[in-house]
Amino acid sequence: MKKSKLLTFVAILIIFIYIFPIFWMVISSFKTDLEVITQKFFPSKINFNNYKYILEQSGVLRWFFNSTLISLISTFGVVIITIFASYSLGRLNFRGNKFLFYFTLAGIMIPLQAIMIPRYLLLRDLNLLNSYWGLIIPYMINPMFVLIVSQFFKGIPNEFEEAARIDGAGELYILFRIMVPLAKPSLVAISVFSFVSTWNDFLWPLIVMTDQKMYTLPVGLATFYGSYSMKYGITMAGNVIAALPIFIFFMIFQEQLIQGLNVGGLKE
Amino acid sequence: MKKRTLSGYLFYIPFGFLYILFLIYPLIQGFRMSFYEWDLFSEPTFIGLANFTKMFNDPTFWETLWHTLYFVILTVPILVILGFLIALLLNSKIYFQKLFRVLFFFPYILSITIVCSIWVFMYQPNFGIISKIFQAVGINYRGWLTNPTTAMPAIALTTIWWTLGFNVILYLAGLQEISPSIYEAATIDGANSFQKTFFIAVPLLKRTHSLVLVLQTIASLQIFGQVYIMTGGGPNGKTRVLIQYIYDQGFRYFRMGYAQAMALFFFVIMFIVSIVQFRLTLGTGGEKS
Repeated sequence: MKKSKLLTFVAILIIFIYIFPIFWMVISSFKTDLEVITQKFFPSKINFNNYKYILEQSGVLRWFFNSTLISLISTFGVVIITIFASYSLGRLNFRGNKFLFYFTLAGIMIPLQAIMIPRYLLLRDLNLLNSYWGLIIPYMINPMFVLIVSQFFKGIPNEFEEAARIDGAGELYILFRIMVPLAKPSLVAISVFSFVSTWNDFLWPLIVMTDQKMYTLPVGLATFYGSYSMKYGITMAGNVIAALPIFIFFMIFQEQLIQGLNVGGLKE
Repeated sequence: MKKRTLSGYLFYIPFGFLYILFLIYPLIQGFRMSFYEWDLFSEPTFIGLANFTKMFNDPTFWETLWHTLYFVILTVPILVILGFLIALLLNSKIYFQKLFRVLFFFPYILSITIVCSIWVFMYQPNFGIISKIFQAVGINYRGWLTNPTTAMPAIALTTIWWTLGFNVILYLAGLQEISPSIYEAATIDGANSFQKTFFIAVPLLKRTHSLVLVLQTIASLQIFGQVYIMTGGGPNGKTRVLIQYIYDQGFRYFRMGYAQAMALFFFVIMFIVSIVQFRLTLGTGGEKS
């Protein structure tokens, strides 16, 4: 198999242009205000003052903590709830199973934007506005995830289950000892996707969180940038700090993430 | 298989309960709200269809709807075609193939705030790098986000950069399903790579094309964050989109009923597009497979 040098060259060229904004963000984060305004391409020396400022003066660390906590708990919750619901839909043969399948399917047609106001009022009545749970609990339900995982459960051959049933295994044993390990690829995919999309969500935390201390990183940074509109060095340093964990996460899980996107055709 | 009714329902309950509470109930409640006038502080007043007549007579509503549609027109065709072309390139026999795929996908997982602030920085009128690049080829233009003509295209370009990787991934998956023997047969018949692309890859990926097209349309119709962060809807409301108008009416001016009437209109549009998506992803007996 001969690899094409010409096509590789074209690809390098395109990637170079494509990645440039990220490169620009990183090098700008080391510039002084003067270097930014005078349009110097490279900073004269690497200085960490912008980073120092971000970590000491702004609420970034708190927002970082909020985002991490919310993303971890809601991802854990969505996986557990999805496992049970998809096992019910995908493998348990019961009266009403078909109805529940279509009922769940209907959920993927409801866009958050169409229900953001009544949902906000509901959270207000439940006293969950401006609280972690107000974000976490709604993130824990995802009809699309349930459908994806239940399709996966359906595809598992009956022999595995039957052997365990003959040995007298109960429903929970079968679910967690047999089905969950076999459905691992789909579960990893939805966890990774859930984590990334919760971490990056903008609209919902913007609505739910009113106290600046409760902001998530995307919402916090958006207001932060608003008040530092001309301090681009600091802004870019904030970006790098916010992007770093997601970059590391991405490097570890990129295969599962890509696979997850393919499984469901998921998109925010 | 034995019937397992009790565990069937028990296992569905945690999801079902929250699903009804946070999705179904707000949807019904939203439907009800659209017939009321309500500012959150006084009692709601039933006003029948007044919110809807107001909506159809509100020039700002139509304007924001048009801006949303304009954004869809600007982004969807480019994202679909470019996504396909880049996937073709990354699927061909090149060095560092895997690394390129990862690099191309990376912007997609950055949060909207990061993406928008990088681009606002680059579009910055006085020292932004984009103006500088244009100056280098003799075009002296600085009003990327402040001029009504270029503001929406500038937001569209940012969005294209941000989400292109997703479509590339979907297309790569589609391309990998095409059996190499089809290409080999075509090579033996003397087809060149251009012919192989347009007479094999394009028609065989029919399902992927429609899936990408519909998903992209759904995503683009939901445009809000980019506008909110990059221009705030300005200059002069020229980039204000429907979701932002709903958001402003609801959460800034507390016209809950009116905002919800528009949200319902949005829901109907999305519902129609979703039915198409549903037929593509889960239709044709997909439930059984």
